[in-house]
Amino acid sequence: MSHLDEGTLHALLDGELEMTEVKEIQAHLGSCSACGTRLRQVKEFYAEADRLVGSLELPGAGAAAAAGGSRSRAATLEPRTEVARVPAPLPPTPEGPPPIFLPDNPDWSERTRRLIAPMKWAALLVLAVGAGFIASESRRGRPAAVPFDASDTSAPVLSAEEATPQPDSGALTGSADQLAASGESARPAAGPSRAAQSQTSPLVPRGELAKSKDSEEGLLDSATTANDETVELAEGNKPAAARRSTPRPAQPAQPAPNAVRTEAAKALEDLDRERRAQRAAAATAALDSARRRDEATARQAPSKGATVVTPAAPQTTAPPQRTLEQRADTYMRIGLDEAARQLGRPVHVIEGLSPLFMGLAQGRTSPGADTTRPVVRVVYQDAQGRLILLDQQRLRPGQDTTPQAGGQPHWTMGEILMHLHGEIGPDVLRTMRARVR
Amino acid sequence: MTADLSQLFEQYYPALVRMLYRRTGDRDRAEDLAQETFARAVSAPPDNPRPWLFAVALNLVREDGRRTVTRGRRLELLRNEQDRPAPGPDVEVVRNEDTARVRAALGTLNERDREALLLKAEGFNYDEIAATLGLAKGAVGTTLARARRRLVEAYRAQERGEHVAS
Repeated sequence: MSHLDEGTLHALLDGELEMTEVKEIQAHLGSCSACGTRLRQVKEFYAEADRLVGSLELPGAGAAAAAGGSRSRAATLEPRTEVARVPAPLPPTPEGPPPIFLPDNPDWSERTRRLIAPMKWAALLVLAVGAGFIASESRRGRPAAVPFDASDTSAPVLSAEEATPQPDSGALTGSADQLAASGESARPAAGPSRAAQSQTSPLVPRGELAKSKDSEEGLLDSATTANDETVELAEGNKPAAARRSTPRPAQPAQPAPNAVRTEAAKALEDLDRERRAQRAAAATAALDSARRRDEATARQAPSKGATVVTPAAPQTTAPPQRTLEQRADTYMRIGLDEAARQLGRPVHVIEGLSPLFMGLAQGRTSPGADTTRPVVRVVYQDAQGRLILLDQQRLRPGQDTTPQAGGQPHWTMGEILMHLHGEIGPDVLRTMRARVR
Repeated sequence: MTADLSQLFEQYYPALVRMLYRRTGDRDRAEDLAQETFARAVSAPPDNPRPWLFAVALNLVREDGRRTVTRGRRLELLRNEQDRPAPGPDVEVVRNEDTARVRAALGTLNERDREALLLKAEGFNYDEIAATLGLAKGAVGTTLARARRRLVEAYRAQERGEHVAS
């Protein structure tokens, strides 16, 4: 599939494409970051143009004036004949806006990082296996391939734990847990912990994995100082502050072979953990717009002096920026006509303010409204960016209209139940109520 | 006026006036054109009323001369003085400036792009826009894409220009 043109993306946003086309486009967006970027730009233009055209309301009392004016002019043509209007059936109230899942489009740096991550662990594994091989060779009395400290190899002294049967290097191809258990058989406390970790669900979040890594740290603290560098490499996944705060008491040096086995087991376990994390990331790749926006923001503003985030580091994502619809708690944008159909009369507006948009909101989000029916919500924004919501719902016989607690304006205008609320204080809201027409 | 036309009038007149006001910037003229549109609908009742009404209204806008625009503006000024309630002065000034910028940006679009945009703002789907403007349905997305992009770019350019000037 070739790149998506602007017209197709606008048709997608306008809901003019068939479902099969939408699926094709979603599949394409999953593999084409350029089109993903273009879609974001198109959405920006789309929303801005919508707002600009919507701001061109008739002078005076806006929509209500338009309808009122039209009626006065209509009377000049001919006496107005009231047509019996059957209230339009109310649309079902969905639980929320239909989600549009768009695939992830990692940029090149993210893809490179994901590619390099397993290679890093593979290199560490090769290093650990090589060291283990050298150690085992030296224990058998054969000359090592590389110079090795004679004090460690020439006179091997088997400790009690080394006297127990140990798996040979071929066991390195097995489970990391087996190696870890054998390498730490002299530590009874390590057993249950390891077993618990080996049963960790593959869908464990990265943060949990990082925590389990922290718990391992205590087990590995007894590693020799010669292995500290390797441990530091593995610890690169932890935040720098955490590394600094983790005390590492000076331990007496242990025999090198045991330390190497421990390191090999740890490396294998890290590799297993990385694979689990990748599977979890793939399984939980819920690609919402907020995440993409965060990624885009991060790419656009690379933080100077920021530390390089290693693949398994706990991802501290900023809270996703909420859209205006989410802040206003509306599930569908509507136009003046639809609002008038819902209310059976022209919509009321706040004089002197231009609405951002109008939408339908669930009844339960408007205090005092009938929760079984949607409310028409006219959304405004003040100079500080705070939202002001003017809710309107056609009254039904017997519907409670008593004012609600909280001091927010709650009143009726004809057959319409009105409620004014938002992100500003009740005093300002009461002032604005006087301007509702 | 038959009951059907009366229903049409009630259903479409506000939207028609709003679209014409956005198109012309003149409320009186918009109302006049809307009246004229419905007068034509009386003489030749349309089968598919919404596209028909808006197409006729847009044709009337195109046919209307500059003199009518000027006259309408005078009427608008008079109307403003007579019966418009006065919101706060600051609010009015800011709103007028913004409206002028939007209107100027809209004026930079070509006829077809502008009309497609205004019809979309009235809730027309692509089939209706195509029928009203005589476009192929496949071209509507491209037309709207171009119109939206140019509108926003023109609006932003004006904002930048004003900021530089001030």
